[in-house]
Amino acid sequence: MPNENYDLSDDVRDLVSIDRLIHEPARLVICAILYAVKNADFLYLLHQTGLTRGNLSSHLSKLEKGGYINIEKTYHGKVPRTICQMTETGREAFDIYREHLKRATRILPE
Amino acid sequence: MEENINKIIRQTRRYWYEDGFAEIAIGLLFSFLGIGLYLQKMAANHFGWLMVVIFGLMIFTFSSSLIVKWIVTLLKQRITYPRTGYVEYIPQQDNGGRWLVIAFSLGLAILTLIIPDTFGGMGSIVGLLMGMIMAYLAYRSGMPRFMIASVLAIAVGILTTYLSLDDIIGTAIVFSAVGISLLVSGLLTLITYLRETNPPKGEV
Repeated sequence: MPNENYDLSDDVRDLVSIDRLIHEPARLVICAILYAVKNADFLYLLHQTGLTRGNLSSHLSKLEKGGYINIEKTYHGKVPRTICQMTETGREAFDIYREHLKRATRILPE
Repeated sequence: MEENINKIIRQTRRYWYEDGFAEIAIGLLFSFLGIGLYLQKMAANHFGWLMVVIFGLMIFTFSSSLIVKWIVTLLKQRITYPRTGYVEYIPQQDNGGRWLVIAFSLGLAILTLIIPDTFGGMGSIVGLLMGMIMAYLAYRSGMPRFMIASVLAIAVGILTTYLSLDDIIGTAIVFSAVGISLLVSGLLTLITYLRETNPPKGEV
C-alpha cells in the first residue's frame, strides 16, 4: 500500500509545513503589526494585541529567538522604551506564511 | 484569515490619524492658506504688501509638509506615544503625498496667473481639486471622515461660483471651509482619543 504522503498535493504540503512560530494567534497579530511598520514599542503592541505584559514578553522572546524580530531597550528622555522591529528574515518568513495560508485556504471546502 | 491579517496591517497604518493631530495640523494649514489668500486680495492695490503676501504664501505652501510633520511628531511624542505607544513608519519610496502638494500648489499658482479676473469659476476648480485630494487622503489613510471634507470642498467651491464671488475670495473660502472642517473633526477625534486612553501605570 503506497504511503499516503505521496498523494498529498503541494497545497496540502504547504499547510503541513506552515510556520508554527508565526501561526500561533497572538504571535500572528504581533507579526502583522510589526510587518506594517518600521518599528513599534512594547506599549503599542500591548494596546493593540490586548495581551498581558507577561504574555506579550513571552511571545516577543520566542519571535526574537527565532530571529524574526529585534528587541532594543532604549530611553526616550528619562522614560525607558522597548522597541521591536521585524528583521528581514521575519519579513520573508511572514510573506511565505501568508502565501502558504492563501494556497491552503484555497483548497478548503466552502 | 488573510483578510484579518490585512485588517491588522491597515489598522496599524491608520494609527497616525487615530489621535486627530494630523487632521488638526492640516486643518490649521488650510485655514492659514485661506487667510493668506484673503490678505492677498486685500493687498491687491499695494504692490509691496502684495509681493510679501504672495512670497509668504509660496514659502508657507512649499514648507507646509515639513511644518505639519514637525508639529504632529512633537505633539505625538508628548501626548500619544506615552498613552498608546510609539510607532515608526517605513519611509515611502514614492513620496506621493509631497509631490501631490507640490503639484497642487504649482497648479493653483499657474491657474491664478492664466485665468482672467472675470473668469469667476476658480472656487469650483479649487473645490474640485481639494475634493480630489481629500478623497485620495481618505483612500490612502482608510479614514472615511476625510470624505466629509472632500464633499464639503466640492460643495463650497460650486457655491462660491454660484454666488459669483471673486476668484481669490472664492478660493480663500474653499480653503477655509476645508480647513475648519478638518480642524473640527480633528478636535473631536482628539477629545475622543483623550477620553478613551490613559498613560499606563508603572513601567512598560
